[in-house]
Amino acid sequence: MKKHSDKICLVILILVMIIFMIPLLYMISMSFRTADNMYSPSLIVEGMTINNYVKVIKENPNLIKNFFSSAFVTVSTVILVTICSTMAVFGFSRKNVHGKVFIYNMLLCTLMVPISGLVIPLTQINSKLGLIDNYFGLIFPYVALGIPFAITILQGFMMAVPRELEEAAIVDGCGMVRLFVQIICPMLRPGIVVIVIWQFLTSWNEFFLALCTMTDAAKQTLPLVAQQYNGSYFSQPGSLFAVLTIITIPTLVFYVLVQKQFVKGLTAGAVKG
Amino acid sequence: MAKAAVKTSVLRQKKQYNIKGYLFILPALLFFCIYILYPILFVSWGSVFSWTNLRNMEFAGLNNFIEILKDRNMVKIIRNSVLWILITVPVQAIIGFFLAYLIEERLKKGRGFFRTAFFLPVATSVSVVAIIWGKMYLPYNGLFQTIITSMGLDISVNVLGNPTIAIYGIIFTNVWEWTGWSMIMYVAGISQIPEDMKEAARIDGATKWKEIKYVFLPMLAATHKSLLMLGIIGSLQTFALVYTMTNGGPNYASEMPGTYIFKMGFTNQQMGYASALSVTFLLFALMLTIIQIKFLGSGDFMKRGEE
Repeated sequence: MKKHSDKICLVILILVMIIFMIPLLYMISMSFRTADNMYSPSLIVEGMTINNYVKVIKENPNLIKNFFSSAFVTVSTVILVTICSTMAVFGFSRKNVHGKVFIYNMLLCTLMVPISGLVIPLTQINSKLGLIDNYFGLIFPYVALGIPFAITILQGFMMAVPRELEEAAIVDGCGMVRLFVQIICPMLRPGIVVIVIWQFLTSWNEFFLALCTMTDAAKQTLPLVAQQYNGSYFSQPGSLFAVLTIITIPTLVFYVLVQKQFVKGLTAGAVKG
Repeated sequence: MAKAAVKTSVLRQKKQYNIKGYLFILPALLFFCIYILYPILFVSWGSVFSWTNLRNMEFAGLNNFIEILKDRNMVKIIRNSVLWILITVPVQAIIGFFLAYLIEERLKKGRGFFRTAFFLPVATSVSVVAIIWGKMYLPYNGLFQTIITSMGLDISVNVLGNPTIAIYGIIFTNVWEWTGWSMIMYVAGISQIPEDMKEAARIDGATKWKEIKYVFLPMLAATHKSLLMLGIIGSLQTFALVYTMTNGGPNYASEMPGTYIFKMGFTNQQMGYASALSVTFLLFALMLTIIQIKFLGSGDFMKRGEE
């Protein structure tokens, strides 16, 4: 009886998964097609070819640079957000830091500040500081906007760190910096996993500020590049989907590789919101 | 009594400052001041001028805000934003929860495989998602149209070209993209529910539905809350999907705050008006944040005490 219902569950899962995979399979399938059988609804059609890939790689020597732009912006943002927010959360937990409630609440109020609301002033600031077409014109704002959320997530974990543990470390002559690096950071690890993944996804996908800041074709991030191909390959869906597949595959591979670590990190501690 | 009084007066006289503690907060605070606080002040200042660049600013008082009140597109934008939050947050959570439940509780093998499969849309770049779905929604030879035609139905659908359903088409895409995130958060949450609680429910003869209702859902309160918060943040951030799929059209029917600000500020060069829109939008976000903190907590941080 029980086995029977479990089997039904498996069937449901497989069905849902197939439906979920349609858009990605569609993209990959289209990327191997010639113009003749572009719109056949089946997954595999006759005369599939890799010519689309050869063509777009030849035509777009900048693609690899764009990939590194995205990677540099995202990785720098993730590292800076993680460092700043763990440090801040630790600072908030110290005694005799007067006004910390005020600072914390102020940060909390900007938890949901959407980047679209700030694009106008941020582009003005970037142009004043000469950060147009500079990676830091994206990294700094992303970091600032990522910190409030990271702090709220980490705060839950910081509160769970037992006082006794800290006191024992201090009695043993552990300085503040060592306490932070060797005791607190490991305790915050599950929370750090959440913010790293979230920050990675938001920075990797950010579009609006990048659109207004990056005009140099070689420095543009991948979302912008994809958007431009949508225009330039408008009448050649095969090439368009080939280039989209090239953009997508590295992140999917990366995710499949870190998937185990990710889930392990997440499940190591409850997500406290 | 007297001793305590003396103690507090001594504390008052010599207020100690933990310099190192401040230094730990400093980097976050600097980023906040330069890239959030200053821009907010700047955009508020810019909203009472009429300008295209900083060299020709003309004081306009509250005219920009009066214009917003008169702007008919605002109704559409507010409706779309509310729809976006009201649909994406619960739908993603419900589907995500059931996927997580089936994967974690009903499967013996292949958990990693399914988790990865459902998370792949999240790991796909948002512009890529927008382009794929845009092509699938195309009239005449998009995937959906082809399937409908091959089923022998003589209906033509033009999801993104139809003002009444365009926004739903984009919302549906967003749900597809982000359900995997809800699933993975619920997977994390479910792993925190103690085995003996599930055991106890089973011994008491709870059916699967009752087990879900009385054990799983209440125990996942923290996950529901974080997903609600992230859902609202994500909805307010929406830009790339709309920009790529419809660019707010047809006739502003699928406009979201971000795309409208972009259109007014960068396409039409009405920076003053776009700044006023930004201020309105930021106030809306602040209101949602305060409601969230008030009713759901997130600000219960100082409980550990100031000793």
